[in-house]
Amino acid sequence: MRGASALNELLAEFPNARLQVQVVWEPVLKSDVAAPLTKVLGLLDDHRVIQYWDPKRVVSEDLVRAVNAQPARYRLEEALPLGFIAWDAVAVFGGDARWESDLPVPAYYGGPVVHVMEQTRESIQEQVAAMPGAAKVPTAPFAVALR
Amino acid sequence: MLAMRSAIRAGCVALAVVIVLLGAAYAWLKFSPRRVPMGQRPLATLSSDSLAEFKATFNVAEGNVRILALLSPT
Repeated sequence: MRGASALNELLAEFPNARLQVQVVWEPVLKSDVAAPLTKVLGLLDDHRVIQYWDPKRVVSEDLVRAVNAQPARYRLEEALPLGFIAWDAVAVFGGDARWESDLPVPAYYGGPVVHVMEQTRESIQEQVAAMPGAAKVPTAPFAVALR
Repeated sequence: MLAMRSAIRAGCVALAVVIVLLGAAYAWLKFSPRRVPMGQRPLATLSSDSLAEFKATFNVAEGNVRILALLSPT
């Protein structure tokens, strides 16, 4: 849950950025017997967040399947071990990423979430800066045209 | 003999109360309504059937920076 709070604080640093955040809650620990309670869901209060409950860990399974099909594509030297669960992890994708059958290659991914906020912040900054129209200050000719 | 019966009865009642309380707590944990913060879409439950929709939601926001996080609720 510290990861959720840390991520929420990070999102608050980018109030005007065009972000979409998909948060998947999944049972991993023995205490994860049900979907997160309202109090837990409230840890992520940014309006750009979409929250999911994934009781069968289908997203994790799909990620592991994609990664194990082509580990090198995801900058891994070898496949993930049998039964691997992707959790307490965060991934950042650029504006041109599309998720067809396999997960697109993230600009950054890592975990545990609470420990990778600095890297996640840097990646978000890079991806936001790379988006078309990211520059907010009008160029000189545009400024002249406004007069 | 009577005292023993009373003790057994009291023990059974206590055990039943504990079981009922545990059941109620479990039911509350399992079935109590979940609310996401204002402005967010309602909490969606994923399954293998809805995975395509999950990916479509990712793709609909093409042009935006996307973040995917996988977390455990406790």
